[in-house]
Amino acid sequence: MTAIEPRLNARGETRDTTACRHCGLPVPAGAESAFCCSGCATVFELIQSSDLDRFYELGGGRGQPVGPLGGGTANLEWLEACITPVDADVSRLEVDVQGIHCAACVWLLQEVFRRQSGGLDFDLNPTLGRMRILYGASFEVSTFLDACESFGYRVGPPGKVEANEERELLVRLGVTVVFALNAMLFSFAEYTGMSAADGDAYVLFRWLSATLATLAVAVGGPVFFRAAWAGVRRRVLHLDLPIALGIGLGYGASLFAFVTGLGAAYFDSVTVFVALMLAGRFVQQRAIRQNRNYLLENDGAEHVRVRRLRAADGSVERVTADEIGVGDELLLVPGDLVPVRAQLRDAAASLSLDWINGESEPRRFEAGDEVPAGAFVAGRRGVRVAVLATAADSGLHALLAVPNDPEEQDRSRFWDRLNRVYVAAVLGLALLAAVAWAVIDPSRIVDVVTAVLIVTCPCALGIAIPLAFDLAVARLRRQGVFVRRSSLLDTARGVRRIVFDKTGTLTWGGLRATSLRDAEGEARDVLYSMAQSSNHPVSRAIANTLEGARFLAELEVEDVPGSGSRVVHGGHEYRLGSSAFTLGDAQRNGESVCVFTRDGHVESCFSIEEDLRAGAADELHTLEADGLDVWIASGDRAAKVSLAAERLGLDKDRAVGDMSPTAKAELVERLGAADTMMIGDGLNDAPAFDAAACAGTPALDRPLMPSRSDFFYVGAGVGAVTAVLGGARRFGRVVRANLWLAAIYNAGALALCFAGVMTPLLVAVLMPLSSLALIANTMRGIGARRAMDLPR
Amino acid sequence: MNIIPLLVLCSLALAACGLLAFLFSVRNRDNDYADRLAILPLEDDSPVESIDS
Repeated sequence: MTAIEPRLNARGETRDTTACRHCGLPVPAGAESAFCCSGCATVFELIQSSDLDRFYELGGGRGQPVGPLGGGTANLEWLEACITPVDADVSRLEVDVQGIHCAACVWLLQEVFRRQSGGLDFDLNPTLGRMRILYGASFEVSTFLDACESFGYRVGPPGKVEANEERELLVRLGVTVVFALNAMLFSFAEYTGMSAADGDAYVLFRWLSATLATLAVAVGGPVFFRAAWAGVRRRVLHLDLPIALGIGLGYGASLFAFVTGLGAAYFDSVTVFVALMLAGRFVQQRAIRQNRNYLLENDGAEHVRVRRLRAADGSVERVTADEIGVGDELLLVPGDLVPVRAQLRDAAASLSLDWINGESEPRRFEAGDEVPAGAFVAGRRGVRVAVLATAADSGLHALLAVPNDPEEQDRSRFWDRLNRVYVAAVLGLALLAAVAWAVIDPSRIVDVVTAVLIVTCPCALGIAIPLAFDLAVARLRRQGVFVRRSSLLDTARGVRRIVFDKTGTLTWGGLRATSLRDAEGEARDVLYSMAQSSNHPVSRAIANTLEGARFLAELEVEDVPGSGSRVVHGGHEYRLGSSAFTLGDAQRNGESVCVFTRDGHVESCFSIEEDLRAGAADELHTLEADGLDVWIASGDRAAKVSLAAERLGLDKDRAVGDMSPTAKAELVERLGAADTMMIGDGLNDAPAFDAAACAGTPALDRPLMPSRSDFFYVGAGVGAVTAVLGGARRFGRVVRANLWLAAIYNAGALALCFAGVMTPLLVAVLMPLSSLALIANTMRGIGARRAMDLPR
Repeated sequence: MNIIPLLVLCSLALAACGLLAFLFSVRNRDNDYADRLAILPLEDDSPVESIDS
């Protein structure tokens, strides 16, 4: 294992960590593996065995965290609709890919494609995450896509929208840069001595500078003018307002000076300012766009497909959720989402409601029971249900609705206050300069006021802070955290409390069995066969511990609902289940112990616990040690939540169970929504997400939650929260330092303006210097590899 | 000083050429495909064994 930078907690203690061989993230303390999660281990082995280890060379020595991989192959029901025949033997497929993050990913998928016969052309847009392939008759599409998924990527129908605004911004940036460089060139002649005495050439250069500046403002300015005007109309002081004000006033004052001949024109500075502001905006937009494109598009109910049984002949047809009618009979296979309110037709079924209410264990439904939309089939057998309501009437659309992502959510109070102060200060200082020079020398009022408006252009806001944001977001990406909203790094700085969902967030949602006493010989095989024959999650957890045991197909295992299972074999009665069922003893601690007996004698005993995410207890301890209040709010039973809190080392008073989605949101409100971060993975967390200051989710394999969150993360643990808080703190530190540097620069430059000694040449030198100083400070603060730290 | 307008014209023409090249690159979506373009020199045309998926 490779040593990585030490992680520090608030007390400066070093936490010993080793890096995952696949993704480089810390391997949880106590783990025997060289990987942070099973997914990383699987992908690493696959890459090595496929002779694709160049992937690591191209990816800077590491890949992306994987997390647990799905058990089955890709669910490709939608695939047919994405295939376009080109001619008799050639077809084209267009799909979206989740998980593309660098050139190494492109190379890996291209290699997988190239190694399969029949492939003709491969085209992957890594920015959008869109793959287009052209293939012949011998090419196995599903095999190829299964191979892609086995490396940790996910494929889905094309749903992402290409970012035309980003391309438009790039064009505006490029054009403005050309204008700015040429405007500087012509201004340079004047700075180095060209004057009116040079006749036509001087006039030509002045006109060229004015023309290029006009073009630059015409091309680049609307980006900020439109956004600022939209903000003013909504009575919102958007970040673009001071930038638009700087461009407008600087250009207007320079144009006035150029036309009237009163004072100096600063056309070169204005064009450079516009170009820098566009560069900052482009960098910021790209960072967010890349993160949002990392996932498959959230396609709501549109692509939920199910198997409908035809009444006429009992055959199966695949239909979308919207095509389901009342009275239809559906066949749902393990893992399927129940898309509508329905009634169970089969004798019994195991369905998971964790997405709806956070229950960690699947619930047993009997024939005739009503099954809610949003449940998942958790058993190993398919089930038949009769539809009671359409998708629209079942609330599926409401469940799967993509929330609006208004721009207001990307604002923070810090910037609102700063903008107010900035706008008032600039206008006040310009007025003050005008009044002062009206007394000193009225002929120089325009000159001085123009200089004031130019030097106060908000370079720090426009270039250094977007750069800091980009670096912070890129750093978080390397840690497996993807920022979706630009306000996250501001709001996370004020977080003093974190509310975790339990199932799926702090735990994997499954159970782990630990053998307290091992069965031997034939009894072990019987135990394995009984565990394998049951759908109960406890049985599955036990079966996972019995490596090498034989499955005895001849056993007729009898399920005893709510207690366990039993079988008679070789003249002995074997029982597996609660101590009450197996020994006639009272159950000691809920479902924490499972006993296996032969003729009433204990053969084996298991401790059953929820499968906590790797390193979760350690991470929570670090968060608490740094002064953050950590809570658990779960829809699961209170006793189980309390038990989980105990194992995680949390105060039981801060672990609340039996919570409805509304109750979670109310808890967040009661604790103080403004400084609370919510971490969850189910739809039952959505109201709390909306209530909290910011929210994150690890639920990448299910739609919707990432689109409701400020950030999402990959990997096995919950270290993402630490990473976000640390990143926000670093970002805040750099922003504050940049604002101070900008204030010092502005104070000095304004003193020169008020003294009447500021010249265009001086501005042309000082403005880039101040911008460079801010950029250098930003690179030093965020760009450098530093130890992780947390907010205090 | 008559040479100056000619030099200005040349410089602007060069700038225009650069701008056109940039617009051509944007139209080809080179920015979107930067990661893919970066690995083009590494592409190998030799036949390879099938991968076991």
